[in-house]
Amino acid sequence: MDYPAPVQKLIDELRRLPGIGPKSAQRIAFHLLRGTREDAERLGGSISRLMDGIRLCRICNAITDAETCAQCTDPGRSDRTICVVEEPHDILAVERTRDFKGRYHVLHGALSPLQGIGPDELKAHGLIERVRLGGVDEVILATSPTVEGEATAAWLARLLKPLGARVTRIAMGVPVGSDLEWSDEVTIAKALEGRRDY
Amino acid sequence: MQLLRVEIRDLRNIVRADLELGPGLNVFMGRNAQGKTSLLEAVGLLARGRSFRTETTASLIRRGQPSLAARGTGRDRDSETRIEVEVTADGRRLRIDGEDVSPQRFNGRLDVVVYATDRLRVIRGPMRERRQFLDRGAGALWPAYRQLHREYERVVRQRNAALESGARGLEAWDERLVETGAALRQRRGHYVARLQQALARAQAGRGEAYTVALTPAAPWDSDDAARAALAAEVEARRSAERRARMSLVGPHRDAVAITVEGQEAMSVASSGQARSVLLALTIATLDIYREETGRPAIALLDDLDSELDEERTTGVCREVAARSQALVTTAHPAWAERLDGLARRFHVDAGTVAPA
Repeated sequence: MDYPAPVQKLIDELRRLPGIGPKSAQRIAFHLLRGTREDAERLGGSISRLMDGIRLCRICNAITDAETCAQCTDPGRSDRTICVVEEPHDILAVERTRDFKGRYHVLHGALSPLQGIGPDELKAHGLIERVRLGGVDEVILATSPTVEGEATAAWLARLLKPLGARVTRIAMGVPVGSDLEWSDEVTIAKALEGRRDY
Repeated sequence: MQLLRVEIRDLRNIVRADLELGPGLNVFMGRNAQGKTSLLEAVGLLARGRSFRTETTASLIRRGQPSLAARGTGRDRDSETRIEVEVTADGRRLRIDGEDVSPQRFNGRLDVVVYATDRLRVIRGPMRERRQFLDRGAGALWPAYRQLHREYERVVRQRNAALESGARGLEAWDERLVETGAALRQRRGHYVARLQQALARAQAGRGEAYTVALTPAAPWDSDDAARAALAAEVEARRSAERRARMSLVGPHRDAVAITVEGQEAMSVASSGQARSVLLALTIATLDIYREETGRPAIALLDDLDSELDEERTTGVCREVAARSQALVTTAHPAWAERLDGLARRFHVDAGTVAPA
C-alpha cells in the first residue's frame, strides 16, 4: 500500500536528514499526523524561517544571525589563540568546557577526496589571513581524530607553520573519569602512543 | 579457551549437533559434503562472529530455516563460559553466558587458526593473499594493528581519490600515507620476524627450510628511518603515480616472499609442498599466538590429509596436539583410526555427528 502523496513526500524528505532511517521517518510523519495543526505549523514555520537572517560569521565562519558571531565580538576573549574545528557545532562542544577563552575558526568540513572535498572546498583562507596579519601566538587544531581530520590537521600545519605561529594538535586518549579497565584497546593503544614526560 | 562442548542448530546441512570435544585432537571422518567443514565453520563462527568461508554470514542458515545458532561451552583456566552466536536474515546476536554483548566484548574469547584448501592461495595466489595472511594474523593478536591497518586502507582510498581528481591537496595525503604506512610497515615487519623465528624453530632438523620475508625489508632500525624510506619512495614515484592516478608505494604494494629452500614457493612448490608450507605457517601462527597471549588458540584443520602423505599428516597431528586443541576433518578414516589414543574421533554423515 502506498501512503497518500503528502505523507509519502514528508517521509521522503525526513529520510534525507542525518540519522533518520525509513522507520524513524515514518514514525515522525505519523506522530505529526496525530498532533494538532498548530504543532505542525510551528515546526514547519521554524524550518522555513531557518535560513532567514542566518549567515556565516565574517571572521570565523561560525553560524550567526549578525555580521560577526558572539565569540568573535566578545571583548573578554583573546585574539592570541585560535581553535580550529570542522563544524559549527564543534564550537559548542569546546564552549561547554568554559575553559577556552580564545577565538575560533570553522572549516565547514574536512579533506575527503572521496566526497570531492579538497583544499578549495574548505573555508581555510580566512584562517591563513588571520594568522598572516599577526597577533596570533597559537593555532590549536581541533579537527576530529579520524583519517580525514588528521589529514586536514596535517595540511593546515604545513600552511600555518611558516607564518610563525605555534601550531598544536589536541591530545587523544582515555576518556577522563572513566576506568582504564573499561576503555577499548585501540583507545588505550593511542593513549600510550601519545604519552608524555612527567 | 579450551572448548568442552559445541552445540549447533541449522547451520548449512547440519540440523542439530551436540559434541563433547576432547582437549587434544578431535578428528571428524566422513565422505565429502556430509557437513565436516560446516562443523569447523561453526567453531570459527564462535570465535569471530563470522564464517571463515563466506562474507555473507546469513548464507550459513540451513535452507528454509529462519535462523541458525552455535553455542560453545569453554574453559579458560578455572572458569567455564558459554558463548553463543545466533544468525538471522537481519543480522546476528552474540551472547556470553546468556547475556547479549557487543562484537568488541565477544571477539577474542575464543581464537582459532585455520588451515583449509582455499587458504593455499596464500602460497600460490597473488601477492595480496600473502599480505592479507600477515595482516590477519597480526590483527588477531593486536587490536592496534587492526585499527592501523583500517586507517591505512582509508588513507590509500582517499589519496587515490585525490590523485584521480588532479592531485589537489595531495601533500596532506602524502603526509598521512607516510605516517600510517611507515607505522604499518614497522608493525608488519616485527610480525614477520616473529613468524620467521617460529618457522625456523618448528622446521629445525627437518628436510626443507621455509622462510618468509618482506620487500622492502622491514622493520627499519627506527620509526624515523621507516618514515624517511617511505617518503623517498613516494618522492621517486611521484610522476608515475600521477600518471597511474593511484598510490603505487606503501605497505599495500609491498612484496611478501615465502620460500622453500631459497626458492619462491609461488613458482616452485608442488601442490603437496604448498600444503606443507601452509601447514608450517599455520603451526608457526599457533606458536606466536601462544607466546603472545599465554594461552593456546584452537587449530581448525580442514581436509588435512588431502595431498599429503600419511607420515607427514600424522606428524602434523602430533605437533598440533602438543600445542593446542584441534579439530581435524578427513575423508579417509584409515589413517585417523591409527591415531587411536591420540585423538577423539567422530563420524559425520548427512549432517549428523556421532562419536566413533
